[in-house]
Amino acid sequence: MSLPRFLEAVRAAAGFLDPVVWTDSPHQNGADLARSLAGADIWLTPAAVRDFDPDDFVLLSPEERDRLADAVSRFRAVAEDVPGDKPATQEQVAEALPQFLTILEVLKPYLTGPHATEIKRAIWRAWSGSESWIPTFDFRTDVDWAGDPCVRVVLVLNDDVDVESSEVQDRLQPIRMGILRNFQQAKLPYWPYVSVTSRSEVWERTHGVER
Amino acid sequence: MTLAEELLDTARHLVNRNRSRPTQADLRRAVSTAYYALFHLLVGDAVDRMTPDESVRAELARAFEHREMRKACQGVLTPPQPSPLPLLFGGPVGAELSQVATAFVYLQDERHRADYDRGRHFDRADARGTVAQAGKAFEAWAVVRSTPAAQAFLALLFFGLKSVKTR
Repeated sequence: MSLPRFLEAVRAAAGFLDPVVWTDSPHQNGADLARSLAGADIWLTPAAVRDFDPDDFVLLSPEERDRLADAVSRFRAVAEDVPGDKPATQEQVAEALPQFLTILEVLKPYLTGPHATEIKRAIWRAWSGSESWIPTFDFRTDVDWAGDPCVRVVLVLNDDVDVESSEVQDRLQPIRMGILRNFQQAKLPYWPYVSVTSRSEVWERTHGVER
Repeated sequence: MTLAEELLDTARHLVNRNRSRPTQADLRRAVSTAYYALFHLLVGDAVDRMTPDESVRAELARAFEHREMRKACQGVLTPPQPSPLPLLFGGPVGAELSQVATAFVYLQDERHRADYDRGRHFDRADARGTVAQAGKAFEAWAVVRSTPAAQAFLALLFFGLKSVKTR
């Protein structure tokens, strides 16, 4: 599982939604939306949420993470019932749409926040090729201690990676520098602070127990 | 052993005390101490080069400002263009100095979060990685500390980035 891949899939699926739905227009009602979307239900697919793993969201609050996980679970249940050779029914669309909109709302900082796409791309480019030992990463915008805008990047390491070893530090440094360089090239007005965590510690925090 | 080396040792000790179940207090103190280890490494080397007089060195050491040092490191890593820094450094900033500057900026922010942000949870891997990054910065500094580029870097830390005018 990987957060960037999940974000890409959700973004792609959301691209098939009517932009009016995206913007949550008050002039639309649920029945109208369901009717208008029933024939264009490409977004209603399990593939949209296939890569979801709540443990990838290191920087989300527990409440938001639970809300996201619940919406994904409900969305997936409907999407898996849609036959591959027929469009979704109006009822299925009506049931799945609120869940998908909840997903988009929770993911708003990742998908539509200021510079969200450029930030993710800058990190992704530096991280790419390291998936075997850094399966995923999370990020959010923030301000640092001096009040300057920054991005908190958390690289999630596999449990067998010894972060204290000289070799691992040597492998992390080019990633830190790559992120910084990519931020600079993209003229992103943030300083990237790159920290690490481990899979098991994310699990412990998410589930409140040791793995 | 210098003060900087003792501080790094202390950070390593704290981060590995109660290895399976370290307290947040240990992890926070380890992170904060790792920053001060690097801070004193650089300040110590800088004042040693400025004067042989011990009492003057102590006064000079107090004149270093954390914020200005951070800005200098950020300026070294992402110099504004056009930049006179390559002239000062005798070329592009090398990998070792980049490693020291990266670590300094990161550790300083982590130090503030460790000391003041009560909402921040420090993971074991996070704190150990931070202390290890400080250790690597020590190693990188040992490689370059006698070079002209390192002297220019120390001067920037003391006088600040503003002292270097862009054309």
